[in-house]
Order: sequence, then structure tokens, then C-alpha cells
Amino acid sequence: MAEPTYRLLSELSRVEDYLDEPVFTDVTNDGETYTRYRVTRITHEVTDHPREWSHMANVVPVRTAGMGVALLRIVNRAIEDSEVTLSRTGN
Amino acid sequence: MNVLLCESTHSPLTTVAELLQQAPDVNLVSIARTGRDAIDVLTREPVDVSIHSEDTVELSRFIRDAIPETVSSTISRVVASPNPTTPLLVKAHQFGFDGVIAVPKSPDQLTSELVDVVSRRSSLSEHPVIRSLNLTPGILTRTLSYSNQLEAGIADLVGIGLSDREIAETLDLSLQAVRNHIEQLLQDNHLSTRTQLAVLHAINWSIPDFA
Repeated sequence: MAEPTYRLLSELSRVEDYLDEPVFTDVTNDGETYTRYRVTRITHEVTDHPREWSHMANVVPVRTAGMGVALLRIVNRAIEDSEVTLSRTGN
Repeated sequence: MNVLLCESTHSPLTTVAELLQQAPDVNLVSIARTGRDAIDVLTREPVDVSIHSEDTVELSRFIRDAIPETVSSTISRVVASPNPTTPLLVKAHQFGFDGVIAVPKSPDQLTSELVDVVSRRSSLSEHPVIRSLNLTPGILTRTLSYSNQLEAGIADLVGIGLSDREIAETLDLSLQAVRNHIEQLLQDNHLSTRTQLAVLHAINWSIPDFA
């Protein structure tokens, strides 16, 4: 099986070039917790990922402070699934 | 202290009733064996404490909803059980009860335990298990609100146990649209988890009586 590859996208690329709707809901904690995020920048295109992630992006929670990185499966300009890793806040 | 005893016909609190008749500083106002009985007593008589059997815990929310808030907020609620288990503690906490007591051995002990609950010297929220779970009290006493018919329909399908993907297929929505609606439902109703939404929604299907 091929290793996943991550191609860095230009900083000039815009979220709206990839998505009709930048806000999405990520589900964690065994399907119990729902958290809404906004994509602020799509940073990488992903290929050959075993979980079929297609892009990597910077995200921020909509209802709380924070920032993170998301693996996204984008199909037809919509986010089909996601896996968000929030950055630890220093305090 | 005026006490109302709420018991089902399936598991009567016979010992507690006998102790209440003998307990000092306690007046057993009535024994309610249906939700309607309990509502009638609470709207007619001053009651400081309502003691419930285990199998009337869920239905306490209907009694609470049916009496004026000014009356409801002054009543302490206690579950009496021959054998209080940890799940019962958690359940009682989520249904807004103030205490869970083992069936006491003497009238004096019963009075003492009730006084502790009424005076807030003893609180379910301070129980180590409840504290460790960091649960919000009384979640299951809430009434869900929906901003539109679609959200009510999604809550229905969550309540009968469908996955997000199944709901999306049923309603011909994208998976993300379903997740956005569920997130909004949780947010609007100040809930933390999908299971809370499912349980709270399904509770509304129960028949409001314990006869």
C-alpha cells in the first residue's frame, strides 16, 4: 500500500476555492461530542491516505477559543468527514 | 417537616411509611400511588420533602412540570431504596433529586437523614462518584426546545437510536448537515452529549404516571 503524501498548497489558495461551506461539525468521544469548527485555511492536499483524507486544514472552534489542524475528506466541495487535533493552549 | 411519599404499587415503601408515622418532627401528608395523586397533593398541601421509590424517579419530572415553579422549587426530593446503587445515585442526580437514602432502621434516623437533605448538609452533588463524573445536576428534568420541525424530526430519529449516517439517508441530507443540526440542538439545549439528547427526547414519550 502506498504511503500517504501531503502536498503543501500555496498560501494564496483560498478556502472558497475548495469548499462551499467552511463551517463543519466534528464528532468525537465515541460519537458523543459534537464540536463546530471553521476552516481558516486549507494547507495540504492529501493522497493515498488509508482513511481517505483528501486535505489538511487549519481550523478554529466556532463557539470557544482555540485553534487546530484537521484532516478532511472533501467530496463535491463539501466536508464529508473530519478528524480534528486541537493545539494545546499554553497556560 | 411535611412529607409526601410517592411509591408505585409494584414496589411500595412500606417500611418507610411506617417509620414516617413514628418519626419525630415529621408529618406524613399523604402516600401517592399515581402521578395524579402526587400532583393533587402538591398543589393542595404544603410539602417540604417528597420521598420516591426507585421506580418513580423518571416520572418525577412530570410531577415537577405539572405544579407551579414557586411550589416545585421549595420541595426537596429524595429517593429511598433498600439498596442504593451507584447507577441509582447518578440517575437521581440527573433527575434533579437532592438525596438518595437507604431505608433507615429507625424513625430517628429517618428524620435525621431528611433534615440533612432539606438543610443541604447532605447533597448528591457532593458524592464522590458524582463529583468525579462532573455531571450537571437535573439534566433530565429539562424540556427540549427545537427551532424548527426538521430539528424535532432529527431528535426523534436520534431518540430511536439511528446513527448520524442513517439519519442523513432517511432525511436525504448530507452527513454534515445532520451533524450541524445535532450540534445546534445540543447547543440550544445546553447539553453535552448525543446520548443526553436521545434520552431526554425519548423521556417525552413516556406515559406520565406510575400507577
